[in-house]
Amino acid sequence: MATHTIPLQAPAQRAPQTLIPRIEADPRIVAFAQTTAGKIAMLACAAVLFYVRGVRDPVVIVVLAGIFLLPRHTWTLMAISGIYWIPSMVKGEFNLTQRITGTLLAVAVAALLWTVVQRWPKSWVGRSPRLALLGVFGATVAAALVAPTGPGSRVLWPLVEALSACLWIFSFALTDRALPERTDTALSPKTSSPGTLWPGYFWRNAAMFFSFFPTVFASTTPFFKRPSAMRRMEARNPEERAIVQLKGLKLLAWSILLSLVWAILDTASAAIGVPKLTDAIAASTAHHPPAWYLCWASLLDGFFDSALRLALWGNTVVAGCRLAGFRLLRNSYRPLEARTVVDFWNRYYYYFKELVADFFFYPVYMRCFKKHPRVRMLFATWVAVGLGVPLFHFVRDIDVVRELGLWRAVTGYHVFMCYATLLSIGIGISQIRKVSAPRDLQGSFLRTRLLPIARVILFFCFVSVFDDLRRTVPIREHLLFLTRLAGWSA
Amino acid sequence: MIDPDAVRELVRSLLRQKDDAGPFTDSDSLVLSGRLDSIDILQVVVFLEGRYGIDFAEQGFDQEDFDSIARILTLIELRAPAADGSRV
Repeated sequence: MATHTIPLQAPAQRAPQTLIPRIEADPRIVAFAQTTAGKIAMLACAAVLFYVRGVRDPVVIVVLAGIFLLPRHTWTLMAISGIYWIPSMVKGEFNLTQRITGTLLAVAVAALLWTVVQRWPKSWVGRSPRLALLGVFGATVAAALVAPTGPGSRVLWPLVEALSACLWIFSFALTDRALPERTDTALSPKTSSPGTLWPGYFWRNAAMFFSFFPTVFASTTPFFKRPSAMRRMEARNPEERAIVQLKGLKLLAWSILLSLVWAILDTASAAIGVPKLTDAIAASTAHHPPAWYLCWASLLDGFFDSALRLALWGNTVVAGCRLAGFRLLRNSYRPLEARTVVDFWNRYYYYFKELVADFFFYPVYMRCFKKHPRVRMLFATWVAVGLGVPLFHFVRDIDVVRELGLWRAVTGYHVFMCYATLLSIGIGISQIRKVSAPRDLQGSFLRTRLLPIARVILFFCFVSVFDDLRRTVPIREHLLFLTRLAGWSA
Repeated sequence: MIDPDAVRELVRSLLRQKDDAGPFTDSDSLVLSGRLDSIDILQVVVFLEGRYGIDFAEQGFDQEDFDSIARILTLIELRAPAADGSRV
């Protein structure tokens, strides 16, 4: 069988870049990028572009320099830098010692679970490492809540925060039983051999994610899945590595252009008096709520604002990973071209969608309602989006539990639960329609493009009214805002 | 009996639905390259469940096992109770 270079985007995504030249397609540039002078030139470009983009931690460039000049040590360099950065993910007013202690304890917990998975694969932990990790996390939160003050809390809360930051990455690492050396036909878990993974396998996977992350934005979504997948995405020779790195530079440049667009839109909406969505929702309960058209404007402004922010952030992270030599897909790819709700969900925040599918959707889909295809799809989607998405955000924002207490943190979550439920219904129906009636590509531009895209935007604008993680705002305000959209006065 | 052509045709039809008429070999990446998404994989799952009686609930599921035609065929070979291991 012929071996082909894996494309970075699906063919449907391979539209020619018009704004940024296709430097990776020029053999002379690719050849130059493989020389020492070329690597230094690329590194200088990356440093400038990262700086302009707002990523100004010099360690990023130091790590990249190591990877560029010593590509054989990529994984080791990223692992060391990743562990260096984990303490910065610990939220709250903890000193450096407490952050490092929390980080080391979190890593120790994961290492212990990994050892159990490898040594005793038939035990409960071996069969359900994700549930075991979630159980440890829940027990740590409970212990921290029982001892809110004193020396215990100064250890337990940093541990909770560090676990919260690493939970999904550790989960991916724990469930990888495929041997990294295996070839394209490797299968897991049936053909894998637990207990035979090489030392450092777990650490490197867990650390990879952090290498370019905290300096950009604090988030806990893994961009790398299991080490076996990472190995398949790593450039296999110097030429491929140079091409991937050039594409990383292009993506970084593209994210800077997007940031300019975002700044222009933000300034323009402020200049014409469009309120931010949270302000418009809060004002809906006041005596002088915004006019209905301003409510619509704030809704659309919020939609485009979040789409652009996510694209900016995701492009920067993916660019960093590509500069390290990994062929990652973009996190956001032309979401405004999506003609179905599920297509938008796939294009808007790809790596979060992958996480939700992997952790929640597939396990339920493979087990429940097999003889009822539509119920099977709807139920799995509801579990994934209606329950999985809120769980992810609850774990991510665990500091809110420390600030508000468990009761207020849980009860205040009803607005976001409403958002997740509505989203799950929309995505579920869209998936069923996609499977049962594939979209008709023939017809007028208005019918096949414009109207479907408008419907998708309208749906996501509608549900975004409830996309509120603040926990202190009652759902009444969001419902009142909906009435304002319809032109009704409270 | 494993029918590689049926798997190839299924993948081809899934790609066609995404305006992707590009060629692919048995070893080409389909999932990690972004050519197929999770919904497409579900259609392959339903196909394998119906045609080969594979139970992913019992045997585990990993999206990367569907990354290429070759991997899907290996999966059938290893997991299908009805398959005799020989390819047509």
